[in-house]
Amino acid sequence: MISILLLLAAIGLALLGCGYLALSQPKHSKAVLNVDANSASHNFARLLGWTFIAASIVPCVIRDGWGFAVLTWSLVVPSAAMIISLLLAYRPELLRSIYRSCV
Amino acid sequence: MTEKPGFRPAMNWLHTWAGLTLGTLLFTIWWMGTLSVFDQEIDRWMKPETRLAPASQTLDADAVISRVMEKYPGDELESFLIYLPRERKPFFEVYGELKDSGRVNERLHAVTGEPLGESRSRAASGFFYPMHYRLHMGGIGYFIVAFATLYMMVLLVTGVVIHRKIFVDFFTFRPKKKIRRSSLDLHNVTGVMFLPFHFLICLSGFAIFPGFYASPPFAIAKAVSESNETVKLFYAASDYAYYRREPAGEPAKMADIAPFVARAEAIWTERYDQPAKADRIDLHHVGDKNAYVEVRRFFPSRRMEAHRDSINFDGVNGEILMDFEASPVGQARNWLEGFHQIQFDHWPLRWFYFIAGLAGCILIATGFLFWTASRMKKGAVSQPVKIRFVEAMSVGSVTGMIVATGAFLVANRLLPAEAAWAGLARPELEVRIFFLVWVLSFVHPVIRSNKAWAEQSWAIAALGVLAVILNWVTTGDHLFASASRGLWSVAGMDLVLLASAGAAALAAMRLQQRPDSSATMRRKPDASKPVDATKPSPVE
Amino acid sequence: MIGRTISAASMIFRVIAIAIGGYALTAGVVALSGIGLNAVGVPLNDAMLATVLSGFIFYIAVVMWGFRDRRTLIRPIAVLAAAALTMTAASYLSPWVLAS
Repeated sequence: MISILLLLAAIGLALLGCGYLALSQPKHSKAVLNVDANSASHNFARLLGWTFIAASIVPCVIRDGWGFAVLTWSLVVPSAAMIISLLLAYRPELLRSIYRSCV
Repeated sequence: MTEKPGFRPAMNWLHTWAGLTLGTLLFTIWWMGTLSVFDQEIDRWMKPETRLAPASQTLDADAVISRVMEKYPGDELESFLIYLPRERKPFFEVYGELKDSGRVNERLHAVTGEPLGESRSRAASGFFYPMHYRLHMGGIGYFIVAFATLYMMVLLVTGVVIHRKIFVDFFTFRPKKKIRRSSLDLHNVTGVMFLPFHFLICLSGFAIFPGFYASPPFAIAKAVSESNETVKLFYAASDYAYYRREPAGEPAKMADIAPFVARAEAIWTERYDQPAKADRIDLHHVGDKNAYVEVRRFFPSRRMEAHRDSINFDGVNGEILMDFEASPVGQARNWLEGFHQIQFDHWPLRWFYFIAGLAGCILIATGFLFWTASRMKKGAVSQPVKIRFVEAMSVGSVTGMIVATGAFLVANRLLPAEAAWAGLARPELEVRIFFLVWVLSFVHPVIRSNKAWAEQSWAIAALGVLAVILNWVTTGDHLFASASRGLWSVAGMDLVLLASAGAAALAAMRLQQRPDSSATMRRKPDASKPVDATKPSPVE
Repeated sequence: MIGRTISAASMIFRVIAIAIGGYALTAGVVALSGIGLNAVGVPLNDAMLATVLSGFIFYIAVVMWGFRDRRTLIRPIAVLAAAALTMTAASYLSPWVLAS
């Protein structure tokens, strides 16, 4: 059970991180949030994005130790990025509700 | 052929031509590799007699041997090989060499030792997996795959070089735009996001037979000039110092095998500080004074690397003859091999490999789609035959390959147990059906032009649903039955089939929105739409 | 856009020279560096394993370098020449390593 939760935590953090990274790009933040965010908030979103992506390795390490964690993480992050780009394409409103407060 | 100067156009040229010429091959290898991630699960589905619950308490090696020898009274063993049951493959697989009866091959129940009977399908481990690394072409197949893999790496690197806006377009996927645009988006997204994994999975494939892949030039040199022995250098790269000795010719009484396995497992458990289980037992020169027992472990369950752990015991007095430990370079190789072979016990990772594999398939498929779509956009009135040819090739190699796989699964459930036709046994019939359907899938687009993309996607959807229904009808294991019996391999296979059917149906609907290619070819390029500024320079 | 027509024959030569010649060049470089590593004391199977695995990356570099400039045939010819050179050198040097 705990191992499933840790995995979900890793995926969740990676999703959050990739979402912030996407929103740190003017073209996506404009499309999702409908605002012309300034560059400071873009930089902040980028920082948050990388922080969450880096943080998503922690549950992996707790779950499996470093050997597997690096590999799991290196596949969790692109999969999350994939999900984010699909959400941007098909369901941007989902991202809007999560990220409105932060950018 | 004209050419523009500069690094990027040169790499664009290389990317386009390597992709076009090798795309069929690459998709085949990549698709079969993706399926091989779940080879054992597909095997359970295709060989219903092996749908057994994983057993915790299994027979010991001596019981397995006596169980096999019951069938051959009075005969004597010469050599024997046992693959022990594992979580994903819950039965014994044994290969023996008998004095009178010759070779025997048997699958035994892990707990009762009951023979499971002859296999009626080559399934994933006997068909998909070998196709992944040797295309069922014998020795030359290994080299074709290796060569294609080298160019897959070239494609990945040149793809990065020619992609102008890696970071800006990182998350960009615009499915509602024209097929040319959205296929390029998908090509970029899957290519860039999974780039490190895809590159490493290509490279690590070479770690499995390293010297073998690199030696041919010197093997040719040796054939030309008999004195040139440089090729032997490359044997050293694959040399893993297996213990070998000749029979003495004097009979001697063999010790029991089970204690050797227990001793080997105890040694590894201590060395790696985690519970270790043997994978394979080899008995050499049984009944001879020089008999020896090799206990091996390839894939530790909770570690990444493939091991060449191998302990050789004297079969008579039980002395340890050799205990192999890899050198640091050998360990690097083991890590690469383990990374590629995914025999470790980590279900989430297995699924992520599957996702990454599918991403690679999408990468190759959208590469094809983009090429044909952009050719049509450029108003390829001058070369319709060339475009038709590439389109037939890409439809056949992408959707055709998947349709053939579906047909293989359906044939597996439809053919009667004792089916044989024109001298072909049941497993071979399934394989012929696969290849027949695959060949037809190349003919289909020639007749139907680019309607074939959507039509074959519909075929995939239909075959996926049909396979699930046939599995239920022929074995009684519908989704809930297999799930409640703990047969997650079978239930998972059904679920993936249904999901693929759904995805194929969605893709079919999307592909049907495409304008007919012959109409596009007649029409002038659409001048009202501004040319997308972000597109990479038109491929040559 | 500066364009120049390239004849099919020279393109076929180029592809074969770089794809196959590059393979031979890689084998030659791998063998030579394996011999070199062995000469400085690395056991032969470790030396060869390390150089073979790096060789696959080397091949990619050769292919990309070879197709970098397609106006002249200098690069494919250079690949072929280097392949001949390294393979010959490796063939002459390997007996010492294999004998030990």
